[in-house]
Amino acid sequence: MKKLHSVSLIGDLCVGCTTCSKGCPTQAIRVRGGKATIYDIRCIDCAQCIRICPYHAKIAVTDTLEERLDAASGKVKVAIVSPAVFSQFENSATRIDVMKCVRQMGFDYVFDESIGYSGYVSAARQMLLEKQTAAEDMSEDEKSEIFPMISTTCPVVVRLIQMKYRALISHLVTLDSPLELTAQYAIDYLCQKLQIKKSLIYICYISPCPARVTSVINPLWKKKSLISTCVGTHDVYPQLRSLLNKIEHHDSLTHEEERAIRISEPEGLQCAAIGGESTGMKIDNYLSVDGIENVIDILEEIDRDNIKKIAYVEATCCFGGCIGGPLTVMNRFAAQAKLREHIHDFYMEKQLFPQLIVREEDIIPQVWELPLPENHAMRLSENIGEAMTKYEQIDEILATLPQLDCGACGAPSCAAMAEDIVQGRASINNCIIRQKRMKKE
Amino acid sequence: MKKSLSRLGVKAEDIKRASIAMYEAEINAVIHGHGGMAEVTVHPDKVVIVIEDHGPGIPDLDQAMVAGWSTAPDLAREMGFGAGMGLPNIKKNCDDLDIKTKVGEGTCVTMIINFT
Ligand SMILES: Nc1ncnc2c1ncn2[C@@H]1O[C@H](COP(=O)(O)OP(=O)(O)OP(=O)(O)O)[C@@H](O)[C@H]1O
Ligand code: SF4
Ligand code: SF4
Ligand code: SF4
Ligand SMILES: [Mg+2]
Repeated sequence: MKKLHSVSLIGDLCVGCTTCSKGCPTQAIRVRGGKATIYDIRCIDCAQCIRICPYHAKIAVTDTLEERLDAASGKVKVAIVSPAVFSQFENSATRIDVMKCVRQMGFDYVFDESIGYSGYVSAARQMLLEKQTAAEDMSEDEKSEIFPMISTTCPVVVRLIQMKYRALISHLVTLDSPLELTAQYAIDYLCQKLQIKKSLIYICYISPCPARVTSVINPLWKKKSLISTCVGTHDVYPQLRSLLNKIEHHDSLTHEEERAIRISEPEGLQCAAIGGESTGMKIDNYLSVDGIENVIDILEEIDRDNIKKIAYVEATCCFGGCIGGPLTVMNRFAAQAKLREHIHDFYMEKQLFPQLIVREEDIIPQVWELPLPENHAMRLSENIGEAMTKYEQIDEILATLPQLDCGACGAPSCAAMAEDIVQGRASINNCIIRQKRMKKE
Repeated sequence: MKKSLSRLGVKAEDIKRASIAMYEAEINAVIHGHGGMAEVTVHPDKVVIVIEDHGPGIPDLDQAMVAGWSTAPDLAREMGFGAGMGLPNIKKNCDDLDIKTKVGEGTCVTMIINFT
């Protein structure tokens, strides 16, 4: 079976403490037989469980770089670097330095993912303006079906909406992701420049999070991703760091490097931190929200039609945006300061290496190839009648549970436990509090 | 109600219709009817929402159904209600609407939303 998600468990390390099960925002985790298990269909790859496990038993599965490069022998090896990666180093490394070192790890070409971000933001802005014009003769109800528009740059937010806020699917920006836009740019550039076939290009993404890795394995709105493989930022960090320490000439590039490296304008780069995308939208009535719990609060409000007069919502699962991604290394506040430095450096880079810069006009925006399907993982049954029966049974069982939400049964709450019992996923005997009380009686 | 309908597997657009209709009827019961009671019954093919109050009743129902017609007090208008769009909006979102009302006794609004 195809693996659905990139978050996994190292069984040996798990002590069954239930911390992750109680912290999962979609109640996707149960502890069974003393070990945590994930219901894949409810997991949105937020990595909350990775962050909070006191025993580091939850991990993100990515490939190691060596394995991947071996698999790509004979192909043109391309790296796409998340803009979150640039801010991970405390020394004076510039964005171009980082890209030079990524290339030294074994790539022929290196593209900055910010390229796709600048294309995404300018196309999203265009979409917003068009929708606002079209909305002039719409009723308030019709407007509330499409506004505020919600960004699709963080796949966790999209998966959350797909499952728990399905009425908001019509609010989503229907553009392909910055990563795919960057990949498309890279492919077009290389096919033209090298006169080779697309199939000869092998693209590896250096990712800040498991969520994007999952979107490569199981794309949300297209049949197949353009990316061949992914590695996590933390996986390449030690190697990159030591390469960066050896770099000497910050202001010179070999002829080869000049051909091989492409970066974006600052509008794309700033999207690595929360607020960057909204700034690029050039509007005042936006809202930016970071952190999965905060995102849930805002989606709840939009779902209840309580957010009026806001045209665009930028939402990221991670605090701080992708610079706070679960596979990053640097403290996110320090990373943010570093990002500002890189944005500042741009004006110097523009003087020195104008040929490296991809302009926003050069990116061709792509819209979704397929409509985003709803995810029904939260519903009780396909059949409403049967779901109603189950609903009643859940209420009945819940009334017999202690309602302490202690988590000892392995479910995150008594309500979740009642549902598990009705769905045949757990036995009422797993509730030790109830067992004890019954013994006493 | 929204959460429950969603768990039962009702389509997002039907949930939306039901919640708009219910919200408007509830607001009316609070603003015009001095508060009331709500009852939601889910059937395999539809949801039936009944909102009942013991307020002043509606003297001229046909008039009340007209878009833009409102007797909302100033205070309600200050809070953003009173556009006279509530009842028309309910009608638009329901598959079946029944309003029983008697001056001095109260109003009972029954709304049916069929699942698509
Ligand atoms: N439950 C009720 N009891 C008494 N009168 C009512 C009730 N519901 C509606 N009405 C009367 O019908 C009128 C129209 O109602 P409707 O909901 O369409 O508009 P509104 O409540 O005045 O404004 P809006 O709903 O747009 O905020 C009200 O102004 C009020 O006079
Ligand atoms: S937090 Fe979850 S994965 Fe980590 S030890 Fe506890 S139960 Fe196991
Ligand atoms: S990644 Fe997030 S949604 Fe998935 S199991 Fe972990 S906490 Fe739950
Ligand atoms: S905010 Fe960025 S790093 Fe975090 S999950 Fe979303 S896409 Fe990944
Ligand atoms: Mg009203």
